[in-house]
Amino acid sequence: MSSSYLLSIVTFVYALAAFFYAAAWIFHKESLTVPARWVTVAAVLGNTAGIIWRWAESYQLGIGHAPFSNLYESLVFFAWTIGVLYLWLEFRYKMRVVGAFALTLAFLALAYASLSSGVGSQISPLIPALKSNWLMAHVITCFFGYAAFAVAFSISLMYLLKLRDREGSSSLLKVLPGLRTLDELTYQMVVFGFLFLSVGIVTGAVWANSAWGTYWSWDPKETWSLITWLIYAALIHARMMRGWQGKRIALISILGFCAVIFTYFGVNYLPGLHSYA
Amino acid sequence: MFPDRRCLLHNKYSLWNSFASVKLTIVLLFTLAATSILGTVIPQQKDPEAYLRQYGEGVYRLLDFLNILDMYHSWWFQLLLLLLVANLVVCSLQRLSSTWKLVFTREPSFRPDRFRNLKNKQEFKDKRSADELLRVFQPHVQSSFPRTHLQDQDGSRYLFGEKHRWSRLGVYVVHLSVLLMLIGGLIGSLLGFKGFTTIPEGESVTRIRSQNTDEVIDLGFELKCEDFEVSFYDSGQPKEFRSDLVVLKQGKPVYEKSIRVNQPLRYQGISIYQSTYGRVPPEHSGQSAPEEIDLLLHHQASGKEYSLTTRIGEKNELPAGLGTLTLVDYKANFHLKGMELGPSLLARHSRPEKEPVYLLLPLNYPNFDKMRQAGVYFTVKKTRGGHVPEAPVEPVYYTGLQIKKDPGVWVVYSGFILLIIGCFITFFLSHQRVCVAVIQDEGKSRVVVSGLADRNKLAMDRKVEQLSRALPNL
Ligand code: HEM
Repeated sequence: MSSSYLLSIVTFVYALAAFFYAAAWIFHKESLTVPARWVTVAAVLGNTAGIIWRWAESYQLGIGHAPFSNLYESLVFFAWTIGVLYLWLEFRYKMRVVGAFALTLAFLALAYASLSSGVGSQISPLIPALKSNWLMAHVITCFFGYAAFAVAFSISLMYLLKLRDREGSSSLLKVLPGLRTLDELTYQMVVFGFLFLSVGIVTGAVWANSAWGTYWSWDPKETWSLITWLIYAALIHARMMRGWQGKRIALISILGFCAVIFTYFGVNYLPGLHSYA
Repeated sequence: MFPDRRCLLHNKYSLWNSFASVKLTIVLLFTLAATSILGTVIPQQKDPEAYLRQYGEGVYRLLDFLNILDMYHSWWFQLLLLLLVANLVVCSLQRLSSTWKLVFTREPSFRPDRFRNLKNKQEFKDKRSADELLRVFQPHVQSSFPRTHLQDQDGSRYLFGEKHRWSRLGVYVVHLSVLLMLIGGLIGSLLGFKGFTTIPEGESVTRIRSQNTDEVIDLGFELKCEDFEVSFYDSGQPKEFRSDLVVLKQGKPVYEKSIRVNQPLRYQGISIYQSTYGRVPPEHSGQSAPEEIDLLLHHQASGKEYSLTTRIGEKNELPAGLGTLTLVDYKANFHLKGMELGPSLLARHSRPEKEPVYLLLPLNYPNFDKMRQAGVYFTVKKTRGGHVPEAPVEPVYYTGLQIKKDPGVWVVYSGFILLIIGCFITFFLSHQRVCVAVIQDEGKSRVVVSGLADRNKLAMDRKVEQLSRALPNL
């Protein structure tokens, strides 16, 4: 047994949690959200254990470093941040339908990490440039940002679904929170993500400056994180204008999440410094 | 004349107004985002040949004409940034004075009518009198809204509470931070420089070449690399590299530091970063190939030995039909499967009707070639001339350094700090105001609680609900 084996089990625990939330929603069984919550807690705990275990394993291999250094590790951490953020959201706002969407994203992230042949799960030594505390701060904050945008994306999808059915003819959509709440929550998640993405970009710049002497070099990954930041900055300002609330905000939030995904995966197909995460 | 002037004023006014518009901000932010994509898809600042190969003549000319091959430094991208700055400054200035007045007023005014029609309004009745109620409510409200204020109006009594009024300034902190980051970047590109240099161990430089302008820049001191060390993981990947650097002025050391990746040296505003490293080719490290070489050829079948004297590059006919031998190269320190064999000669042995074979003749291991077990082997008896080390030498490294001066970096960093502080204030604190209205109603008191927030209205709704549940039990 190893940490990557544990994490592949956790993948299915997330799937189970998402399934429970979806079932509770579709079959109107509020009681199912109780096991759903506990399964989510189990998944997050398992995910946490997997990360700590992997950390310990790297020390056993004599190349000890925090497990945030390649695509596999970042996907595992991404799933963890989504799980944690969702639990906080449920605790704070008691909105359970979001779980069906958000935990599906956590499941997909882990499934991609565990099952895709392109994502190596072996622990490899760090090249000198990656040995920096700024890097750790950079990865952690960026991923909290990404997770918040992922949750905002889920809520925006719910908003658009709900908008198509204002008369409440669909009993599925009736259970969703009201439009005003969804809109407000999207915004809350976006500003949370915006703060973390800002800290992520800043710590990344400070790290680059200490390693290479340039805080900003327009490499594709940097540029894409800036593009993401600009899109969400536009969203934040758009909300101040009447007529730009609701639907358009949801659409920008979805566009922003597409930029997040591209920053994360797409950029690896472009030339640049960030060979990982 | 008058209408004209008014028209001018009006135009001026509307230009100002259009720069104060948030609509322009959104257009600019989206335009910046969209155009930035170009530079990530089309490689930037490459050699013209590379572009010609990839895109062909016509497309290359077009891209070059539109400045897309170095778009982040192009006039149109900078213009977009400039427009954003103008937009930001005008917009912030226009609103700052009213926000300032609101935040720093001595006597904040409360208007009950602003609270009357709020959606989050909660009501309850109480038997106690208005005076008594307000006396018990005030400390409770004050515990979460530190500034409270009592007011009578139209026969009703009002208790107002408020907090985080100053958080309205957070937005200006964010906007200031964006300005600082852009200004810092501008300072860096106008007053700073960036270059790359290599220094072999034991040597020094005083000048470097700028990466952007190709000018020669005088550092103002002498930079010497005393020593360079590199260590490897078992996989052969470099684990850490370190240069021991000394700064000299008039030949005297004034500052020294060992730098690693992520741990630069800073001296007089100039930062020196460990970037790469490499091995110094032997001709640059005081070593050179021997001029004349005496070889022995051993023919094992006959037990005979033949001697020959040759030079590098010379082709030798071998006796007894054994073909030809050419010394093709000399290495000051030859590496074979992780072993350092020291100074070695490389030779090509061609025999009739056979594939030529390449031989390695390390000067320090004369019988090395015998291990080939090929029937014939060569040994090096003696060399003359050149400069051949006695024993395998430590490789000589050079260190590759990134050297930079950027006086704007502290402006950018203060922008970073303000961005984070400003975002935190703006997003997580909000200017919250509650109003507890007590209205006398047929011997009873009707209490109405409602709240206003400039942001995060859901949190305010929850606060009002909590308050209206807590107050009746006081
Ligand atoms: C990249 C640049 C910019 C960033 C990162 C930025 C960031 C922000 C943030 C975080 C807020 C607070 C939003 C909230 O209340 O929740 C804000 C508000 C605002 N921004 Fe910007 N902004 C930028 C550029 C601009 C520009 C160019 C303008 C020019 C018109 C502008 C105008 C405003 C206005 C009017 C507000 C609302 C202020 C208020 O609530 O009184 N922003 N901005």
